[in-house]
Amino acid sequence: MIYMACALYCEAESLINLLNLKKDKEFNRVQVFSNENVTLFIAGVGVLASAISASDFFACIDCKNPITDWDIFVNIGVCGCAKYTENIGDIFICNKITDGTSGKTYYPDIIYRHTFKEGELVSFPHIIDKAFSEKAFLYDMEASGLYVSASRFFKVHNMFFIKIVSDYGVPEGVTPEKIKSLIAARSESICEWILKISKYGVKKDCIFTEEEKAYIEQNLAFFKLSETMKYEARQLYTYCKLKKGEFKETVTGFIEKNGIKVSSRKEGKVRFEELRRAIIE
Amino acid sequence: MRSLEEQSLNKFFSHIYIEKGAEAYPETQRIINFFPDSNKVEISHYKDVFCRKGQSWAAQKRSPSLILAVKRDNLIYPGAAVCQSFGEEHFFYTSSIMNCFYDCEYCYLQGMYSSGNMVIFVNTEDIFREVDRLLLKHPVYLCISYDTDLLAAERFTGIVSKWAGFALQRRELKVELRTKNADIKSIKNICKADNFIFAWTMSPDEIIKKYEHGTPPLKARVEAAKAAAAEKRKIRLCFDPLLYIKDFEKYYGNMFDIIFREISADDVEGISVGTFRISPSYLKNMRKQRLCELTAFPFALIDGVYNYDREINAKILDFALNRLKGYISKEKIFTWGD
Repeated sequence: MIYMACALYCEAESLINLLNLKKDKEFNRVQVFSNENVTLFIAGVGVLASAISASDFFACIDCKNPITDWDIFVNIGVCGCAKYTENIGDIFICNKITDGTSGKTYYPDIIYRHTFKEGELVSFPHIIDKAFSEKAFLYDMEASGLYVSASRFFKVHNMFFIKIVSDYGVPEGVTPEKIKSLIAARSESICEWILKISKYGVKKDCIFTEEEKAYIEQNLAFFKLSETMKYEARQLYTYCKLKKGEFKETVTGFIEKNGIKVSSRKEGKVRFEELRRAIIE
Repeated sequence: MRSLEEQSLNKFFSHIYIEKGAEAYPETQRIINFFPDSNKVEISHYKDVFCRKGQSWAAQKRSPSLILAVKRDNLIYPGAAVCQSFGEEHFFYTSSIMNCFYDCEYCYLQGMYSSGNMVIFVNTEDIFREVDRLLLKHPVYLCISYDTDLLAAERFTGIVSKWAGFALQRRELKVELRTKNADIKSIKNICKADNFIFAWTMSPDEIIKKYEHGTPPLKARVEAAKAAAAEKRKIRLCFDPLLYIKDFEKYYGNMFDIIFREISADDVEGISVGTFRISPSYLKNMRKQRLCELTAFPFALIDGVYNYDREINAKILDFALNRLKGYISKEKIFTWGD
């Protein structure tokens, strides 16, 4: 699943339209729009407000459907830029995010190729004017808060902070219409890239099928193993499956061939050791 | 052919994080010049990137970033109990680089570090000074390539050359460079010193192909060791870790034959032999990182270290030692655990 966060609705509107996201009425504290692959929420303006919204939202999501190591988080929004050498509308991926208040710095991993620019961003809790903007290269009001919140749920290589330059420290001219139009013109290239990389996450393999998992539980009960021995048994079956491509036939075959019956924990331990020997040899 | 996923990844060291203060070192400039297209990001401390929470070792390993930093403490460590000391009394090791280019499925680094990124400490001179301080007290046997493969990074770091030059001027120092690399050109550029030992880890090709991703094949390693021996450099051969795999006798037996057909035992200073062993905490982390037959093995906990059980251990070691004794005198063979 891809989770997107925008501070304002006007930042999100073109993404909602492009991805055909529908309002999700299950959430009442944050506005949420989703389809089967993407969930977008409006995080609100400001470092603290966005962090609180994101934490609230992710906690709710995580309870229903745990967020996995291959889910993606993307913050999309506009930012100010201190350098006139960059153009209004340039798209940046942030490789360094500093909280302007605490001075703490965060580094999202950028392991995927992209065609955007890269830069460092500082998040301030208030609007930055031209004089103050020289302290930073890119600056916004949410990224550091969203990073802190999202990093509790997502892996750092799956967190992306994509910013579109909206001004050079003169925020007065940055109207909702301007924001909407800046993002609308770029939402296709941003979404295309996100959808592409979302397919490439490192998925942790689960080695056992549901049927095999059920068999293991029955088998552990059969051997009357202690909790520590159960851990060792799961490890042994993992090894067996990796080595032979299966474990169920090996274990069942061993039990049947030797006519094993286990009447006590002590006997189970002895029999299990025999099974261990048979598997590793 | 590379998969679409591989093509979508940034190339190695697309991002170089430079610790404040590290940029002044010539080593930093050398490395940066080697990777001119990389994005450079200034950081306060290398741990801000290397020790972040929420990293994926596996994802980073596919597209690692480079961190350049200054090592401020723990410049030299006492040799670990799980490592072969070759009978040396004052056994130490140092880490100029943390993490490795190669990706060996049994490597302890994946259990030791939470990051797949690579850290290069650019203040080698400070480590030299620490070694000199130790040398005032006693001779030093120092392994410089445990937590990485230094030779694999030599083209852009030059660290091995520096160490060889340093060792050349210090008779009481003996340095071991452990490697799987086979870059003969790099080796020829390193100055010759009698107290600088190249130690090649050798594995059968069946194991290299399956478990030692990105490493040179056995033939290339043998050629590199042979070339080093021909230049009268000190060489060691390390059969460590020996792995318990199906038909291990056949694979390791063939490997010994191949190696000693090419390399004269007289040219080998010593041989290290040891079976796979690992600390419990590292093994736990390694199993979380990836599913691998080697690390999933139901090891026995012996004296606080996970190892094959005594019976299997004896089976592997007896086989290896018997075969090796046919090639080289037993005085030159060092077995871990002895």
